[in-house]
Amino acid sequence: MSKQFEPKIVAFLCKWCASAGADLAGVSRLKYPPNLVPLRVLCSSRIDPQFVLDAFEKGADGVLIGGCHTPNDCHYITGNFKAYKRYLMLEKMLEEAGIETERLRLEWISATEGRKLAEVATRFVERIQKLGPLKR
Amino acid sequence: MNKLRAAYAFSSCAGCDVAVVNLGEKLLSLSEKVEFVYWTTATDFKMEDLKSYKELDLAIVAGSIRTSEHEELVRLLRQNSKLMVALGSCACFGGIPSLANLYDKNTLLNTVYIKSPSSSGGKEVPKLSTKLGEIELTIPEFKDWCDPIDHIVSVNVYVPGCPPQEGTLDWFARTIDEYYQTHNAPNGLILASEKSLCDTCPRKLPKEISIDKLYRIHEIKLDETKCFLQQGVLCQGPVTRGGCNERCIRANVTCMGCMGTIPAVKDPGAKLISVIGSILQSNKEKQLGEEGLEKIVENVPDLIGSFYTYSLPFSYVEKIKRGKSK
Repeated sequence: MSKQFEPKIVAFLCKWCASAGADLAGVSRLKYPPNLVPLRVLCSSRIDPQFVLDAFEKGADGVLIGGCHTPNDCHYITGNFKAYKRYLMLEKMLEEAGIETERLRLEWISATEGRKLAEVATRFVERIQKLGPLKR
Repeated sequence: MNKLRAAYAFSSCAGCDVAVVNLGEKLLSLSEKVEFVYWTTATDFKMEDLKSYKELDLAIVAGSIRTSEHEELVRLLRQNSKLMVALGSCACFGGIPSLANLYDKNTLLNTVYIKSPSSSGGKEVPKLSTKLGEIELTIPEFKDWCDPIDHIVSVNVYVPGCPPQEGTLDWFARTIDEYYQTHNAPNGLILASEKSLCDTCPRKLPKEISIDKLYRIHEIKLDETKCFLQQGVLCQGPVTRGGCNERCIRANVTCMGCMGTIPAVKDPGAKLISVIGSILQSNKEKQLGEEGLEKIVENVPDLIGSFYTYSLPFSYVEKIKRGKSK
């Protein structure tokens, strides 16, 4: 039997919402695939598109960005909107370059949504498994 | 002291050659120290002549590596010379020709020779060798990728600019002079500022920037004193090295990034996305909401062409793509 492809996924989670949501998922003992490597950043707008592309180049098969819900949840007032604009442009750039845009995902996850994080993680891993590894 | 023996090879638009010739009298004083044994643009030389010179001091290459002939030439020059110089943005970073790396080789050849409306006659991609009676005619192979020189061989001095400005070329002349005196070849010296162009920009520094949308340069009348980004036009100044004397800015044209990326930035396009993400509608984000922002970002034209105008071979997207074809 052939081994199932186990993707590597880097998750940039903002400290105030998505990462707190991941903590909640942890203490609530929710299960989600171990393929996700969570990285806590202070705000989703701190995620430079360079980080995302660097992750892809260094071996990630998918990148998840987690931030606070729009319009009013961001701890820094409009950080999530800045992240959203960058995400849209990055997606467009990946498309122009011929790299699957499905490998990049942005989700708004609040500190109370541990369940949503587990769900998003499971679905995202499934999607990347279908796509297969990002060949470099 | 013996004169330095120099070879100048090019595979570009020859704009760099013109920039060198434009040095005028300075070139004459340089000719006391340097003797050109190969310079196809200036006089008639053949590849055989170049092969006969086993010991060269200086090799100047302008233009990117697109065909197998360019690669052969660059490897030969590196082997026989002590100081390898990449002249111009194409040689240093790939330049505009390297934007072709967005498409694969066959797509490019088919577009040029078969699909383009202006191509007439045979409508087929030229073969690498053709037999004419008993004579076999060959052409160089069109390579899969368009490369800057340092993807193929090591480079001692980078002279960026499209074409290199007078100040940069003066610096280059001083570097040659220094080499003439000491015979110490620098390793990977870039003749440009470490700081970004904005650091020396003559325009007024804006306090806060918020733009409605990203305009293309023909869509808007530009103010000669205001920052380009403030006026909603993409300027690559924030991520580009200074040292070019801001000639484009002074002529009311945005920076296109021909001096290369500053060392603090790894990928100019990604960093520019970050820049534009910060300033696009930054006062009205909440009113517009996600849908409103989507509409505005949709209209940002030609991301890769305008963000990586001169430096696509060093971008993450190309590194990821190139890995794919291995």
